[in-house]
Amino acid sequence: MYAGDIIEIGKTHEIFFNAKHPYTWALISSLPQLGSKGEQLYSIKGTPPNLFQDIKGDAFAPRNPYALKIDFVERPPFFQVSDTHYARTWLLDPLAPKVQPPEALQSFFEEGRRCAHES
Amino acid sequence: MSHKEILVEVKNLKIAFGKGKHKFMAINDVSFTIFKGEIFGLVGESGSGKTTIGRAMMRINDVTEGQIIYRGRNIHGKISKSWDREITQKIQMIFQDPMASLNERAKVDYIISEGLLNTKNYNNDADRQQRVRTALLNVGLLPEFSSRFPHEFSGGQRQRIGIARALVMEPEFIIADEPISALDVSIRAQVLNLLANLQQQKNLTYLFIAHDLSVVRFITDRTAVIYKGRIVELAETERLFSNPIHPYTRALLSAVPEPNPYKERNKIVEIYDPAQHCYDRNPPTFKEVEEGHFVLANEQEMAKYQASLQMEVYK
Repeated sequence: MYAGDIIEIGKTHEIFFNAKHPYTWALISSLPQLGSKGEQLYSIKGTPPNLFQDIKGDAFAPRNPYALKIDFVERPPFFQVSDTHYARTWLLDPLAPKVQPPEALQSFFEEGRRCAHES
Repeated sequence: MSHKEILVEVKNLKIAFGKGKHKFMAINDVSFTIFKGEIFGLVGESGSGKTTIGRAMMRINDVTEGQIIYRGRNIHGKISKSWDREITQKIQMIFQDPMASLNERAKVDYIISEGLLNTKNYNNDADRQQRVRTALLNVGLLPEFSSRFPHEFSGGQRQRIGIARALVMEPEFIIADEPISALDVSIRAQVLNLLANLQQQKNLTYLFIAHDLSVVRFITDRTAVIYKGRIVELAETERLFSNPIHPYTRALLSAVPEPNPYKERNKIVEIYDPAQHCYDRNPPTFKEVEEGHFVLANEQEMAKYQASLQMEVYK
C-alpha cells in the first residue's frame, strides 16, 4: 500500500521475486540484507505525501526515479501481471518504455526464482 | 587489533535491581572493550540487559559492582565535577522510540539545545542557535524546523531530531539504543545511512544496541551477544555471523528471517536449551577461542568449540 491505496497485490512470491511497482522495488531494496557493508543502503528519497491534499496522478510519482510523465497527470489503473498479480503502475502499460528494476534487485529476483524452481 | 585505541572499557560489570529477596542480577559479570572509531553491536533478546548496559554507560543506572572506564578513567562512583561535566558532554544517547522520546510540549529548538543549556556549553544565544542549526543540517533537516513541535514531524524526522539532540553536544561516543526499531524499512535505511555517514565524518564511536540482526550485520564492526545478563559470545561481526560458536548465538542467528519465502519455509531453526550446559559443577568463564573471538564456556565446552574450529580449517 502507498498513500492509502493498494499499489500492488499478488501471491507472496510474486511480490518478492516479480515485483512490478517501483515502490515495491524500493521497499525490497531498502533491506539491509541487500546492502553491502560500508556502502550506502538504498533509501526512498523525499517524504510520503500529505493526505489532506488531493493527490494528482500516482501518489508515489514525486519520489519515483522511474516516474513517467503520465504518472503526474493520471492515476494508473491496475494492470494484470498474472491471474493473481496486479500492479498500479503505468510502467506496465504496453506503450510505456521497458524499464528494468535496479541491478541489485534483479539478482535478488533471480535467486528467488531459482529457489522457486528447486522447491 | 591491539594497535587500536581503547575508548571504553567495561570490567566485570554487575548491575542488580531490587534488594534482599527481590534482588535480581540484570547484568552479571560483563566485560568488553570498545575501540575508538568502531561500531560495536550489542544484541540479545528482550530483557537480556542490552539497554541496562547502555544506560549504565550513560550513568542513568547505578553500577553494583565492577567498572566502566572511559578514556582510562572511571565514570562511576565518586568522580570530580569537571570530569563529570566532560563525560556528560562526550557520551550521548539516541533513544529507541522517536514517538516517545521527544518532549511533545517543547519546540525542536529547545529539545535540541536542552543539553547545551544544562551544561552551559555555549557562548551566547546566537552561538546556541547556530549550533542547533548546524545539528539540524547535519541530520538532513532544515534549520527552519527549529520553531516547530515534534508532532509536526514523521517518524524518520523525529528520529533525526533525536540524533541532532545527541550531536549538538559534539560527543565522541554515542549509545544508540535500538535507534531504528520503530521505523519502517525505507526510513530505517535513511537513518542507517545517516548514522554511518556521521560516524565517518566525525570519527564517532557507537555502541549500537539492537535486536534486528540483519541491521547489526550491515552496520557494526564487532558484535557481542548477550543472554540473561551475560555476554555469551563476542567477535568481529562477519566472523560471528559466518562462524557462531555458542549454542545461543547459533539459535539466534538461525532465527534471522530472510526476505525469501522459499528459504523461510525450509529453514531449520535451532533451539537453545540452557540445560545443555552443566555449569553447576563446572562454571563457565569468558575466554578467547581464537584471536578476537570470545565465548562463554567451561573447560569441557571450550575444548569442544576449539575442536569445531579445527574442523572448519580442514573443510
